Amino acid sequence: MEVKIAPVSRVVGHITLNVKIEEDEIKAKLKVLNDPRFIEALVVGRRYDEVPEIVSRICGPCSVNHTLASIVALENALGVKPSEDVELLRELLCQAVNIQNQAVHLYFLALPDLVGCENIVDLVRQYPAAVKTGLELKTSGNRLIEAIAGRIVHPTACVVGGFTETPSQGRIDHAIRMLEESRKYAVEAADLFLGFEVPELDSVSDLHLVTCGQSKYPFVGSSLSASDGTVFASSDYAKSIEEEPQTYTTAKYCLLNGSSFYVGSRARLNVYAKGLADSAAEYVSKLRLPLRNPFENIPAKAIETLHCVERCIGILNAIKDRKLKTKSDVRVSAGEGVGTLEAPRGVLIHDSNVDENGIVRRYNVITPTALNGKHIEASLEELAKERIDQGKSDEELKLGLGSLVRAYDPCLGCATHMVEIAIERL
Amino acid sequence: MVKMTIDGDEVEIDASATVLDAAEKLGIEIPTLCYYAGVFREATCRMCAVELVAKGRPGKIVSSCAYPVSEGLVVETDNKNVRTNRRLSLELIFSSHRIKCQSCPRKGGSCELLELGRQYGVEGVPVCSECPLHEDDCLLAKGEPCLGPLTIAGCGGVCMDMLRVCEGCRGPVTRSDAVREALHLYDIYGIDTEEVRRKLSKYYANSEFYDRLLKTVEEVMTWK
Repeated sequence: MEVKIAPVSRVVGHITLNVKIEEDEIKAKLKVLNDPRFIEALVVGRRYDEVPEIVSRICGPCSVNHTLASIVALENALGVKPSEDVELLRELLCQAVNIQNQAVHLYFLALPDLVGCENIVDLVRQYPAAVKTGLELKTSGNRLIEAIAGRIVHPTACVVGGFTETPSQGRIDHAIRMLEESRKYAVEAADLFLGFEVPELDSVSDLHLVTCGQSKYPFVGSSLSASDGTVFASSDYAKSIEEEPQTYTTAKYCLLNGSSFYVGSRARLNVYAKGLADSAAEYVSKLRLPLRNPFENIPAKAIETLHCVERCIGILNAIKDRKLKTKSDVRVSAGEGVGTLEAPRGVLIHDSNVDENGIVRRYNVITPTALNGKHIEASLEELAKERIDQGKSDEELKLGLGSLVRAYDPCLGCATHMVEIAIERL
Repeated sequence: MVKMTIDGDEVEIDASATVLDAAEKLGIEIPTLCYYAGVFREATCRMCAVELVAKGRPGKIVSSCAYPVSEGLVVETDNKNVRTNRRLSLELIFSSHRIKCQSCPRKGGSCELLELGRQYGVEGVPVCSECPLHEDDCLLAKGEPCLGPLTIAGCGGVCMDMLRVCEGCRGPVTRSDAVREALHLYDIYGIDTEEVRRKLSKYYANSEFYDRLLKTVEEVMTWK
């Protein structure tokens, strides 16, 4: 038997899902349908200052993360040390993107599954208040990004060396007031999404990966830590993370020391639950850590959203009455550098190699969805096996598989890379 | 009823009609912006310009939406003279039109002004028109290689708000004189045209505009 969902709806981008069910084996294949976009090849030969702007186009929803990861990678390659204020503002931006992205995923991609609506139009009709809360949350994230980075999508103020302009006092005050107001929406979201019973499923492998940084719940950092206890510098990522081209899709899926693993809100919450803001930490007691069920990514996202709102207010208050240093000199020199940070969907890795004229010679991007890919497939196989053993119908199976993919919140535009396919003839 | 000729075709029409009505009867299209049948006929945009053909001397350009028909009138709606006139009218309209395409309800392809601009090779005013509205300082004057003078306005100047130079993402201004004006500005502020050329290649490489631009740069350089 073969279950086909083509395309999987309510995900960012286009994928199809093929699950082949045989006597003794179940095989799931997640096929990304986006065309290869050659972004990594596009930036080769361009000067370092143009690169963040180009790679930002990888993804609309988290363009800020791609811009920042690229900037950090290039700064490491050129040997530029950003000021502490710049690092703080970058942390702030990552959290703002997190608020905006998680609001969209929770309310518009995941909620229809949880309340049993077929689509978003249905949801708007039946739960107008929830939809409004979701939009308010998204808006507050958007406005915060706009205040700091100049534009919601493809930020203009972020450059190698820091920021072109320091956010003015007025803008910071306005952002604080706005976030204070949206705090109640974040609490509403946490109440709502922790109230749902998520489907039962045990994680196939509990290996997960997060960014290590300075703060208690870091979004930007220079090393990565896996749940099996290994910690490695971002620049050594290639030793542990193996990118594997797949024959059936344009995305490369990754393995960590040979096994599948996951990144994202669930991984972050598993590792950093103690670093949560007080109001968000209260909700953690309703969950059993570590979160082993992939569906628990949804409540994890809701808790994170509340945490990010609190943390953003905290950071904004800390920088409010201070003169910020947001520019560092950039001197061009040859080198290699890796930038890692937490995008809403998990660890994002940008790797650059720059020559003595500041021209990029090699560039590599590994996105959260590429890291998650193998784990999603393994979980799908597990879910299919369990549901078949329980004697569920095909329709129920399809619904379950679709909502599991959505629980991971894959973003397919950015997972797309070029893959060489060798044809084998006998 | 009177008989007249438009683009070589004869038409018989009521004496109270206008040249635009007569053209419509023949199925000849004349672009209009301010004209709205039965509502507005003040001939202010002058996009519906046509030429009254007279033997032996240059014809007279009139607005067809307001010009009455008469016996034996000969009109041309699409010749070099008419097109030049329409392009001039468009440039005048664009020069005072605040292009705020992002917040305009007509965005998404239903804007006649932009459509006509495309047809007649007149596209908007440069991004330089955004900066004074936002009280942003001119980055060219600070010696930074800004693509503002070469790029079409309508973005709201978001980059210059954050003190960042225009990167040209919105596409080129195709007004005939824009490139020359821009090069003149780069010359005044001592900006390296090589740097500008490199920046332009990011969004425009392999485009027709890019080739034309490089040619103009060469021309201007040889004048010196």
